[in-house]
Amino acid sequence: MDARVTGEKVVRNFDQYVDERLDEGVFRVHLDTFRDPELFDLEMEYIWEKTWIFLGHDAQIAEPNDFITTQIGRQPVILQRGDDGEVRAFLNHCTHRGPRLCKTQRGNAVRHTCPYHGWMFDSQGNCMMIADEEAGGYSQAFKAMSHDLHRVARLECYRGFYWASLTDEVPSLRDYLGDVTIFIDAWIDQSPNELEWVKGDANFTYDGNWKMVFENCLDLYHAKSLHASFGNAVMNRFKNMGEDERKSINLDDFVNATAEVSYYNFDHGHGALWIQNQSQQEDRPSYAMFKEMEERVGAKRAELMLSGKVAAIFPSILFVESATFQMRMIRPISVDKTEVYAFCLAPKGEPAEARALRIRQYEDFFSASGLATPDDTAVYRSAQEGDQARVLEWNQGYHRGIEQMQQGPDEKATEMGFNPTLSIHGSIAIQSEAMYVGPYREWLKKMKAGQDSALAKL
Amino acid sequence: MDKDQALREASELLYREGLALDRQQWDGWLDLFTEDCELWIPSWVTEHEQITDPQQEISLLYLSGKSYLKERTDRVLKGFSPASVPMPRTCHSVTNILVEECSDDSMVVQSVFRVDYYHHKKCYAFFGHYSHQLVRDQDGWKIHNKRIILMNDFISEVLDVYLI
Repeated sequence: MDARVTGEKVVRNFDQYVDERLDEGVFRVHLDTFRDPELFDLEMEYIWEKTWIFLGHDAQIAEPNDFITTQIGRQPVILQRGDDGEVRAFLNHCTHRGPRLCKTQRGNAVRHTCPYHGWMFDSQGNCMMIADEEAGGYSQAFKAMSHDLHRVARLECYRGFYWASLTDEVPSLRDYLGDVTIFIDAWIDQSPNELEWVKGDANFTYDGNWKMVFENCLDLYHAKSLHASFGNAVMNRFKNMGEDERKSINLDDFVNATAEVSYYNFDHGHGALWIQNQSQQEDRPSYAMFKEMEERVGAKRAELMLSGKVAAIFPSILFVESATFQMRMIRPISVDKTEVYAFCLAPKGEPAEARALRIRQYEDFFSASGLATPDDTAVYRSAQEGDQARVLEWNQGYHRGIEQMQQGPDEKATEMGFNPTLSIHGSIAIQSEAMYVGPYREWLKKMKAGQDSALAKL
Repeated sequence: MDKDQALREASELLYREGLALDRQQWDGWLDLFTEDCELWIPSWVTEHEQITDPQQEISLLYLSGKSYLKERTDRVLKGFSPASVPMPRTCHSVTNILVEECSDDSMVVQSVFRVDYYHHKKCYAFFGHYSHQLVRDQDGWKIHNKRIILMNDFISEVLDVYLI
């Protein structure tokens, strides 16, 4: 049991961190949520370790005994396909004395032998051997204990994407995701054979709070300003080479505002955005398979598939497509340090030329060695430093587009048959920042529920 | 060309490359590359296995053609990219230089690098192996291909041409 929930407990009034008065046109989040280390620990305890956290994709553990290692909040986890083909998630912790059993980010292991005292576990997590057990003088009580690896409370899969929870007290994954699955489907269904994992790690870390990257992926407002250098580079490609062979995302769509956008919030804190009538659709790697998609799923769904779109699944995983598609798994380390594990999933059967274009666009924009993401990470650090201005309690950054917010679906969502809790629709020039309401409502709900349940245990 | 001479000439080029980057002499750095050069940092797949095909797998960096290198140096020069404002101070060390193959107009050179840099009041480093493919034109040796095996690939905020 965590010492914090057994001893003297500071009872926090979490309502003071989220100031939601939409009828008065006000939505603010307290800066302590970005800079208070104790609040960070409570976020781990009440949010990350008490909800569905994304672990990985089927394609990353395709063969029997394949595993990947990850974390749920602060806790080390193995996701492994057993020798029986079933996928399980255990804590990466030898039941004997605690060393991690899988020490690499991925691998294949028929069994896990703890290097410390030699206890051995199979790929289903069962304890196969306690070294020198016979001569060990173990008690009956010890013999009655399960020595198997600790399975996480819940592991569920949505069409190849695995989420897990350390507590049973969560809705089913399907209910948790709700209608945001329409976006996830829009990636999965790009090929009749679904998605494959494109190899190659390009992970990064930044000196800022985890919520910064979550917010950033739903933020179109920063594209023109922060990514001016990216826009510049793309313009120069036309000037110097006559064309941009990487066919990068056109930031002119933001300047000229010919495109439209819908923003959505869903239950359980998920946010999404969908850019419509964007130029250069034929420059997207997915365009290579567009005709086939259109015939298979119909024009409306094919349009969503090809569009720029984002789904931010609270709190741990971002599905981001600007020109091309990247998944970003968030791993909070401390109040001011975050790791981002990025990976590329692509439609199976994509023509080689489209795949190469996908990869170039991915590296160009998304990688920490690219022309956009390093500017994001630099500004997260800078915001983390600026937020130390503790005289100040609030930023003004959640008001853009607040007047356009409507309850329930917009016309586009109704047309597609999904049901968000809040919508904003209009010219892309809105570049709304008001759609963080949903994520912070969930933040508040989980923090309050976590504290209530911790206090009830005192 | 004899191997001692090749080693001398290769070493000088590698040292000059590092110096140009440390001094932020971007044109001087670009001048060391051929127009059709390639700069490739393959990514890691497991602890000791890297990708092999930049067209079908994700690289840490894959720049094909000098104009993509110039894009990076222009980005620094223009000052619109917060990632390079302020620019980190860098120090390129190149050692263990070995000429693997050489003829009168081409060489393959292996070396070890460490780039220490100072950014936001902290010290950082990237380190690994370089493999340079050099060709000789009328002005002397040029880098046709630079392949970088980067050992510490969990990137702290930014990785760019001047940090490796």
